[in-house]
Amino acid sequence: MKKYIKHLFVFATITALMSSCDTEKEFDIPEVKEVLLFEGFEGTAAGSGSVENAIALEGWANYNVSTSGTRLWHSRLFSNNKYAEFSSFYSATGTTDEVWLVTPERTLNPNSATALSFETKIRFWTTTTGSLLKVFISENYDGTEAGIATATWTELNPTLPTSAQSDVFIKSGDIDLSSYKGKKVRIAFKYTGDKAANSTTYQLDNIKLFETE
Amino acid sequence: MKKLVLSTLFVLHAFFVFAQQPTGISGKVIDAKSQNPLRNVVASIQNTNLTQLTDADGKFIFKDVAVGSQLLRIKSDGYKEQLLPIEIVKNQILDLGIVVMEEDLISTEQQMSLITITESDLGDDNSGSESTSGLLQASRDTYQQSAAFNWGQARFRIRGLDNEYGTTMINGIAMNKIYDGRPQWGNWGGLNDATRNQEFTMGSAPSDYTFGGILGTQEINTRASIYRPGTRISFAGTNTNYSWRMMGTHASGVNKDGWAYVISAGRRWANEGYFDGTNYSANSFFASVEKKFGENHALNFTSIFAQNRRGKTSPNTQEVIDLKGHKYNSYWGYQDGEKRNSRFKDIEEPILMLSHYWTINSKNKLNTNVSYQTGKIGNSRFDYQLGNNPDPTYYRNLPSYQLNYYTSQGVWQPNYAGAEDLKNNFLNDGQINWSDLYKDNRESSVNPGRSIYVLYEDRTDDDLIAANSVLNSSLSDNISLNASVNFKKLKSHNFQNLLDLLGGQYFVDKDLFANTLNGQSQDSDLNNPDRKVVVGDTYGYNYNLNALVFDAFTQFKFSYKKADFYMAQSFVRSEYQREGLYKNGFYANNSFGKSAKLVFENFGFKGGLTYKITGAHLLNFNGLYMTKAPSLRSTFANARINNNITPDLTSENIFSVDASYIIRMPKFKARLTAFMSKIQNSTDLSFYYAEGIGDDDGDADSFVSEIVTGMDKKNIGAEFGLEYQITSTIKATIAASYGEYTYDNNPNLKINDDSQATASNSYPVVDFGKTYLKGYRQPGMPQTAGSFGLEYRDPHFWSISANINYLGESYMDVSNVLRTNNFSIDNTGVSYLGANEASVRKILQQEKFDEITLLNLSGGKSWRVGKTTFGFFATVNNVLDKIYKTGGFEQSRKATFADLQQDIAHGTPSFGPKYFFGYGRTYFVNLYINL
Repeated sequence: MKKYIKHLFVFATITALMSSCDTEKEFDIPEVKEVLLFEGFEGTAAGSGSVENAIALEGWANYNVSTSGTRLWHSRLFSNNKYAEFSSFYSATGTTDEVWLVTPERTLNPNSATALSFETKIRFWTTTTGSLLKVFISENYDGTEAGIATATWTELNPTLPTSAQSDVFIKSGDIDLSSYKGKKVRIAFKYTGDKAANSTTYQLDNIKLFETE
Repeated sequence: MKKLVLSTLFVLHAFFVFAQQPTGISGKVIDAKSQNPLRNVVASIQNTNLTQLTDADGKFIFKDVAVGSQLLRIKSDGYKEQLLPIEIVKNQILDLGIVVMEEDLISTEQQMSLITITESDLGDDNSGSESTSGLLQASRDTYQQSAAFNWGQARFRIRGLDNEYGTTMINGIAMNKIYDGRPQWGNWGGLNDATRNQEFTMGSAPSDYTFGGILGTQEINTRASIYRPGTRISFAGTNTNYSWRMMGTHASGVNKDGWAYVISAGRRWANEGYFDGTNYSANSFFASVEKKFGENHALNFTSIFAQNRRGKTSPNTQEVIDLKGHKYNSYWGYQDGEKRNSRFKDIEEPILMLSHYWTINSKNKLNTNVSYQTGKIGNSRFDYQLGNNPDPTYYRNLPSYQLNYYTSQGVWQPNYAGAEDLKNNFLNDGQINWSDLYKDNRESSVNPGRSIYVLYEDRTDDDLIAANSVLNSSLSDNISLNASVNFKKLKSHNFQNLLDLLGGQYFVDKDLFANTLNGQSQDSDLNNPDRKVVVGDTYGYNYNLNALVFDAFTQFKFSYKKADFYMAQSFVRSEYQREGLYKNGFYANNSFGKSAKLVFENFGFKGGLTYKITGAHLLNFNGLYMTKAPSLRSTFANARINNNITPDLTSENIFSVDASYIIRMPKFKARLTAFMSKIQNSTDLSFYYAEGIGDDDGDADSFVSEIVTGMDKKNIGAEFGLEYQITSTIKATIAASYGEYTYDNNPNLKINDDSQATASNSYPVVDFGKTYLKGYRQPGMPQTAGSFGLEYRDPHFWSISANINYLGESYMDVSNVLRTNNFSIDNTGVSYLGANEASVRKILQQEKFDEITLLNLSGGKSWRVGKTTFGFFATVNNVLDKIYKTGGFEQSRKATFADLQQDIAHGTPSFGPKYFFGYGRTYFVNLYINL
């Protein structure tokens, strides 16, 4: 009888080992294309007329680095939709503006490509230098006003509205950031203008950083 | 006196008697109580093919037995099995003298008290499955007994397999429905006495009657002459799905003219079962008559008529359970002071069967059966037009509706006062308000006489003709052959039957959700538009499913001193066709008339080996590969209203292996088995009422079919049973089961969406891509189980036993559509905000139910007065009154990450999972008289 119990025990151990080979408890999940950042400015308080409420969302930077400029990207409402707006038209005579609206830092997925998209609307096309809006990416911007000058900025190439495309939000297209896999990045929207001759109104909305695979 | 050969179970061995005194063993078997000889007791020498039935004097004799130590097994239905070590000496017939057989009170009574567990009423269609415990019924195997008597109540399934992978037969004719592959136990429910002659095989082990599946086979033999003569009357009280049971059975035995008959009747009823509002009424009748014609022929006619009508119980969300308790049932309401259930299940499918037994010669037997089964299955529910959902648990009736309110801008705006009102309403009432429904119907001012609410049933009326022939042949001393051919022809009429206008005068046969702008018509039947229907009318949908199934099987069994082995093969040809009787307004061009005919041809191979290390000590291996046609239910994607065939429909591939180590000694028996099975390419159709998949505010209460194809399942595990006779009166048993039953791939999911049907798009299937199921557990059963029991059997005919059981690793039935990319990716191609690897994994984590500990007690005593035995047998299950969930399913209504997140964000989801509960403490007391 002892012998049988011994056999039984050996068999039980073998069985247990066989069963435990299959220890993977993980389960599959549907594809995730994570949205790392999305800002539609709906949570901001829109100003109206001469009242400008500067964008002051957590983690965002919003600075006018021109020595003569003071105004910032601010929240506006039109047709139930809020967005960030800037135009040098409302700046004081003789002043210039260089206003940076910079997203919070996001660490991009090392295993997946990420893209950027946003929408831009222009009004009252007034420029001698073409588009007053430029979009940059940085891996080393520290979020301070002083840091803007010292950070390394690489310009991106989004689709922006041209003079013929006023009063309608234009999609930027998906801007491929796959060369930044695993990097910590911030995206900057830089408006450069002056009261005198470069004062096109720019409106920004639905800024989105998302995985594409 | 004529020697009657009564068994089809065993092939009698032909003996060659040599010149000298033979070598063997003899004995005489008697009943312990009556001291009368017992006829037809099976005596066999273990690990040989030597098997005999005792004659009328209770005697058996084996000649030509191998010299040395052997084990003699003596068993008979209803008696304790005996295993006797014997020492065979050359040229001697060892005379054992008298072998006394004791009645196996416990096993017999336990089996009589086994209550079939009602299957969760999950499907919204007429899926046959009625109970989970049929195949669990008692064999002698310790493990299977634990599974049946102790784990069955918690919906344990042997090897994690659905009933459709087992074969349940009456006289060799498979009773598994062609529709869904599952047997309808209700067809012979309440006839425990009359259906007690059963043989079981487990896993893919060989059966003499069929190729079988990978779960096992159950063969019920109703041949009148094999019943032990006598009369038995019993009366039982319980608090499970019914309250009372009466049963009476009489078996005549064979008279001198060769006649034998058995009659049995049973009634089970309850005004209210364990769960609220579940009434029960079942009447069953059974008759079997046999006439022998000479030595070699016998005819047997069996008729079984079992009626079963029961009120169903609702699965409930946690919110409802927290408010109303686990016995709450939303399907009933008071009408004139009586509890009326709106969801009844009615089963009434009598079986008639004629069997011919032919002993061609001592080596060949042929059994031929012809059967006819007809009748109906009906499942009732409400239908309504232009009214509110009468379900008291409709989401707008529950507090969570006010607590989870969002504005169209997506701002959470809970209404606490409103929630409190709804809560009080639900607590104070919370049942169906029949009088309001009658009032609304009578006072319908826009359309006087037109019912807003009606009660109807989904009906399935089957006509099934089946015939088979089973050959049992002894080809040589060591080789036997089993072969069978089977034929089945089914006509299944499915329709909606109007049961009650609830105070109105007529109902309109239209589907008001039809999109008439899209060219759809509201008419259920364009051949008879604008119908007004009354009680007894067919409406809504109406079609036939026709099936023709032919199968053949052969099996060779080899039996030698050191090893037995077998191999078997099967061929099945299935032919399916739908025939629409209505020209449906959504599918004008492909609903009326016959569909394409589908033909599946399937093969199966299996084999196995038993290696006898010694007489008491064996190794056993089995392997099987087969393909299996999809069930009729899976074949037509939207059978109610069109002829479309399920996309990507294929046969299943089934693969199974197991290995066992078995010890059989007089006082110690044990079995340890490791098993693995894979079922690949399954098609899984579910039908449910969805209120707009992925569209959270749709109120369209539409019946959708979700089509999952190419699904793989993997079941691996081990089972263990041990029985040790500590003293002659005390026995200990241990049983354990460990399993990992998982989904093994990511199958494809499509949804049939009627609203998109147009004249040019008669197959509006939306492809959801993959459903990511790999690694999820198969739901609704404990995957781990353990049992320890002690049993005391007093020689003075009383006994008592106790069992403690542990059941764990039972999981939620996950929603397939929630595991598609539709859940995680929005319509712009990126994930919903906040959805990342971690958050998606967390929200889609499969719920695991709490572990269960069940203490069960049973005991009984019997008295003998003259030739009459009186007795009682009682069981108390779940003595500790543990309330536990046996299963549950996720709702598919909140089918996107954003919607689901919103629904669960405030603690009380409106569309949370729904749960089923097991019974708390239940008792069963049976009083019986055997005459």
